[in-house]
Amino acid sequence: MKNVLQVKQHERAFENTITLDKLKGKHVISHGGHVIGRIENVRINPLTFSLEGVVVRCESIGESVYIGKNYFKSLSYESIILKIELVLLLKGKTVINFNGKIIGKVIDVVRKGTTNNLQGIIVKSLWSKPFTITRSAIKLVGKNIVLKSGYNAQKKYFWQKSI
Amino acid sequence: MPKKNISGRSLSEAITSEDILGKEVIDIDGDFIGIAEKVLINPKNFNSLGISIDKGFFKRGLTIGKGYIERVTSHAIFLKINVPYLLKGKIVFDKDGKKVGVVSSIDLHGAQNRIKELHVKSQTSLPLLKKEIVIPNKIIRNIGDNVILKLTREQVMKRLGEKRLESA
Repeated sequence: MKNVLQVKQHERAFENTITLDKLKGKHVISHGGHVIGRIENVRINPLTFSLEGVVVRCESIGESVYIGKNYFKSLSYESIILKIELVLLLKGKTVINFNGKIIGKVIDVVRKGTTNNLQGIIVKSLWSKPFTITRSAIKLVGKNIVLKSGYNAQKKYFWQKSI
Repeated sequence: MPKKNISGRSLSEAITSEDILGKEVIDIDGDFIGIAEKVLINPKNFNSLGISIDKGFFKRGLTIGKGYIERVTSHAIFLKINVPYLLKGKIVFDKDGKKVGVVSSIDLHGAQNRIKELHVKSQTSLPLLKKEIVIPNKIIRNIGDNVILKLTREQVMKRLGEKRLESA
């Protein structure tokens, strides 16, 4: 590393900081190792001058996502590893009921505000209207979503009138 | 018409091979692994030992012991494990998120569902420089969509170098 003169008070030493422009284009990886996307830009708080988050281009959902620093586990020149699985990426996953029957695919995710806390999922099958499944009815979220045994949603087909 | 029963006990809750064969097998992550194609039975006491899974036309089959089966339902068979063989082809990242390589094979502790070590093919642009790294289970931090290690790539290589020297 190039040796530089330092003018600072209580801040971290130059050697213990990283250059933000080097982060651009690096991968953001979820807790489980899923490559979410590449960093588009790094966002700084203009009042405290500290890093607030990064904007990531998620190709799988075709959108850019701003991820706050509280969800970072580690940050290096190689990548950012998160301490979470991004619930936004549940879109497109298959939903299976307790008996193993496929009941549809996730078309949208309901979150608590802008956090990563899952409130529910909006599911649609080929012939049904979109319907919401609350978080309490979900048994596990992994490669696919498996529902708890008690879940028994009334399926509404597109030819049925909504109440 | 109810069938006559001479087993000495009620068999009303028993399931038959028809309830198992042809059903999708789903692992603990909700991933579809394949289709149950055989039920394995102990020829001495006729107890079931497990199931054989067909993973598709080009993939080798898989046998799962009954201890790893969570439940058999009307549409699928749920496992209580992740199948480690499915790690093949997954990317291995070091502690900093640097790519170490791709899992080429998996060693288990005997026939148990515990990973002993992962064989990882390091990724380089030159095919002659491609080498295999053996990653022991204790330096794996997390396994999900891919694998994340507890150490940096340099620390892993150093450890492997030390091990080679010890064994020489």
